[in-house]
Amino acid sequence: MQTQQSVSVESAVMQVGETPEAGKSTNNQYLTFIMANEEYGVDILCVQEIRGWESATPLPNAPPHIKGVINLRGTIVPIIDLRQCFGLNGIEYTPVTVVIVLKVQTSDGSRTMGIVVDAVSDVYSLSENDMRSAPDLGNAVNTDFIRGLVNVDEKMVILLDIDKLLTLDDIPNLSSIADKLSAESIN
Amino acid sequence: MGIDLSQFHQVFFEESIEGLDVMESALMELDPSNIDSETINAIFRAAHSIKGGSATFGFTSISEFTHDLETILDQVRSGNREVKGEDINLYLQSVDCMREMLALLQAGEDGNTELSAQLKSQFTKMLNGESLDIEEENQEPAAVQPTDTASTLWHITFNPAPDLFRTGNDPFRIIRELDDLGEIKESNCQIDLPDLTSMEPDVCYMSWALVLEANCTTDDINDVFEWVEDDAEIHIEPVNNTDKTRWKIAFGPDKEILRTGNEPVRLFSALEEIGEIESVQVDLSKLPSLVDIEPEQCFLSWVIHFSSDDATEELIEEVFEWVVDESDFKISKLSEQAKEETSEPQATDLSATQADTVKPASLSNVAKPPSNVHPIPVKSQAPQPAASTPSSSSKKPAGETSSIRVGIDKVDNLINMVGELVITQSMLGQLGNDFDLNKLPQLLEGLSQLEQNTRELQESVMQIRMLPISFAFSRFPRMVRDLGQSLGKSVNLQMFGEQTELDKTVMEKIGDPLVHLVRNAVDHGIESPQERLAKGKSETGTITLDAYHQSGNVVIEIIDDGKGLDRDKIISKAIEKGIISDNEAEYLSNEQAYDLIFQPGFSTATVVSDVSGRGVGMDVVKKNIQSLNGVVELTSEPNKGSKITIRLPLTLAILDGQLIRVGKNTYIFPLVSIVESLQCRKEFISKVAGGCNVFRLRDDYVPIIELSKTFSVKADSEDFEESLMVVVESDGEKVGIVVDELLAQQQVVIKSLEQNYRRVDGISGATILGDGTVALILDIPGIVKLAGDAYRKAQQYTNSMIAQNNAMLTGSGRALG
Repeated sequence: MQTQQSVSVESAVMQVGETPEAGKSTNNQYLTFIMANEEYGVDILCVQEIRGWESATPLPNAPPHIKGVINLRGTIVPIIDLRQCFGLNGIEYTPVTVVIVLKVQTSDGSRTMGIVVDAVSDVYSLSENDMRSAPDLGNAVNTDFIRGLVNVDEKMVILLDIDKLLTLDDIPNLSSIADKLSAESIN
Repeated sequence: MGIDLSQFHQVFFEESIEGLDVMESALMELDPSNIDSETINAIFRAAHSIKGGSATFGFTSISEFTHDLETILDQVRSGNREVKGEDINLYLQSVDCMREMLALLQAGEDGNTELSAQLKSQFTKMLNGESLDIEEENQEPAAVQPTDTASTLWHITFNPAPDLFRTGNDPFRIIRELDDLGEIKESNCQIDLPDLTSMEPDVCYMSWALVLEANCTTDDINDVFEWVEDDAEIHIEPVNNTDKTRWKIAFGPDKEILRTGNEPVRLFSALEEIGEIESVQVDLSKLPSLVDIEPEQCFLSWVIHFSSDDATEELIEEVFEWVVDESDFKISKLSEQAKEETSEPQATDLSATQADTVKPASLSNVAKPPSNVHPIPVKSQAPQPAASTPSSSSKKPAGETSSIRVGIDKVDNLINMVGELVITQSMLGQLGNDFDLNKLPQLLEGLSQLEQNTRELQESVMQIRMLPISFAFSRFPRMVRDLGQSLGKSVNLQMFGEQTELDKTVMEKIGDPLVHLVRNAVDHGIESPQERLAKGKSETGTITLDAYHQSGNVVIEIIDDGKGLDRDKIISKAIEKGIISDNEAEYLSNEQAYDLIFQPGFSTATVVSDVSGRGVGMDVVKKNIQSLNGVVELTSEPNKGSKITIRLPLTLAILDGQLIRVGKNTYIFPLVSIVESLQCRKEFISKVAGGCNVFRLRDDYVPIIELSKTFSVKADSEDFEESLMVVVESDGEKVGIVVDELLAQQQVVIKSLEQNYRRVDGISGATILGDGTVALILDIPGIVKLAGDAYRKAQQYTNSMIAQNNAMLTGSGRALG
């Protein structure tokens, strides 16, 4: 079922590609995906491709949400597990697990990164005006990645801030690990 | 013209900089006592093409500057000028100056600098004064009339008869010939055209007044006019201005000057009374639009070239006495630069086009026409801010693009490879069209051919990035020479293996560390001549730069025969800086002591000299070399000299790797850093201070790092004591790294992790293995650091234990003896 969905999304991507002006007006198109029964959206212009899960090479001492790096036609691309990013329970990866490869222009060139999600859902044309800012949920949820909330057919879609996703800075300080190690060896 | 020349600017800059490099290295080779025509020609050619290029692109500052230099070089080339030692200094300085000017122009600024003006005046001095002496030496006295040799400037009037053309004589040929004799500094053409109706196409209506600068005799010039002597009025006269003092007076009065009753015209006529105004340039740039002009305000400023037999600065100042407070007033003496740069076409300089040259006669009635000195319009050196500043500041600095010049043979080679590849591909394609099992051998052959093609293609592509190390070495002859001079040392630089090729990226990064090392060698290594003589060495110190390939590495050696490192001084300094303790100091081996100079903040220079000792130390050198996956070693012997060896990988893009496995993960060790691999036998492992494991490797102890623990991955077994250990060298220290399995050795293409992610401690990059998966390349120093300072401390402790042991042993030995 998930694969069927992803096929439909790909055709939608094609349409966007053919008429780029459509997305450039006040309405932006968003690709949405499902994670733990919630629908999230990312700007479709950032989506480079959608692919199945393949095992990634783990990086040493990386935080749990960094699954590792994969070879994307010669480029080394890190993969983030969005579930773990958001503190959701991890699920088992299968060949139908979806990886969305996102590309963002930053000040120092473009960066590419893959996010692991449960399934892709739909493509919506959404207006900036309909977007509500994320409610303050205290420290319970990391809302840094959330650009805003939007209502589509009585469903809530959480729009993500890709730039924030790609410049994650919450990796534990590695020097603390070294400290821990040295402490261990001293004891 | 319709063509946007700016698109060629980058090429011009690149070529000019190359030309300057050529000039510099040729100048370094130039032996004043025995001038090699080939070398001087090379220098001249380079200067000439820079001049040509800069004139084409309208970089007048450079073309004017190069023009004089070229004239001098031309004289050297034709044997009319001797080269003295100090001349070479001047030429080298002008190379520097041109570099600077180019850099300024590249940044979109005006290329004129203080240095260029200074050098220009030196050139003119050479062109006038000094060339005289040589002239006198070289010329046979009998053949020369004294007046002829007394001047290099000639004033020639050439007034051809109207029917000159009819006799088949071309005045332009004559003028060209004059230009060959020397240089036409100025040519004024008088055209006396009749009515249009009576004009005849084959009648010459022109006459010329020329100023020629040449080291020649009147006869030489007469020779040029030989054929037209009878058809023209020719007057040749040497210009003799040597006994005059020349002044440049920049006078920019305030607007209100007219209201105070001070007429600039009156000032000029007063000036005329004490000497002679050669030329006046008026800067109209401050002139407002017509509607804003106030008749009582002065918007003009002037640059006056003035010469006089007896005027002193005070005398001139006296003339301007009343207005000095109300104007920008500057007098400079030009006596030493008897004349300055002259009539280059001033196409691009905005200020120059606005500055009109006004003959003194038209300015003041009192002015007498110049008699024996021809007025030479002088392009103003004084900046004219109002006019030039806006135009230069509006330009954006041109972005620097990195390009690479590749030998055509390398490209040809590459094209051949691609051709082969295409053939192989089409062969395989045909095979695939109707494949049956009979064709299997053919297919296999095709595949192996493909493999070979790919490998060759890879090698040729890598070749393109390879440059001979002379690119990095070329700056040293000059540097050592200048440094030696400034430090009063006599240093001879030898270079070997300049053709050793090195990847461009490595080359760019190794330059600065090398400069530092060579500088150190001159400054700290080589002793002063007296000291050397006292030690029984030759007066001249030798620094040797050598580069060669050794087992997939490039080795660069910097050897000096100076005083060597002072062990005691280093140790006392290290104790002072708190790098080591008194205790430790006693047990340091020589190597360990010398290694201390690579510690941050370490400088052995007791006096901060001009050259080094400013805190950028060997630690930076070491760090830079390590960032290139290189190693630096130092050996030294007192009074014999020091030798620094740098080992670098050939390229940063590909590395020879040893694949290893820890649990489910494959990692890659750079093969360079591996010393050996061995079984982690239990009996050789001991624990130091209860924490850190050390391995006894023959008579050495190496700390053990368990990669699985450092990287928090699961290894095959918890107990490492029977696993494999790879002994690697990091920072000159050996470390044993425990792994589960050694896999293949292969060349790997290095991919960046930072591009899409970030730097990961202990990892220097990633690569893609044959099966398409990603493997991480280990950064040995990073892993050692990761594994914690505890290990290092433990090792230091072990070392001191060993050293103490040794000391005790020798001590007891002595006691026994």
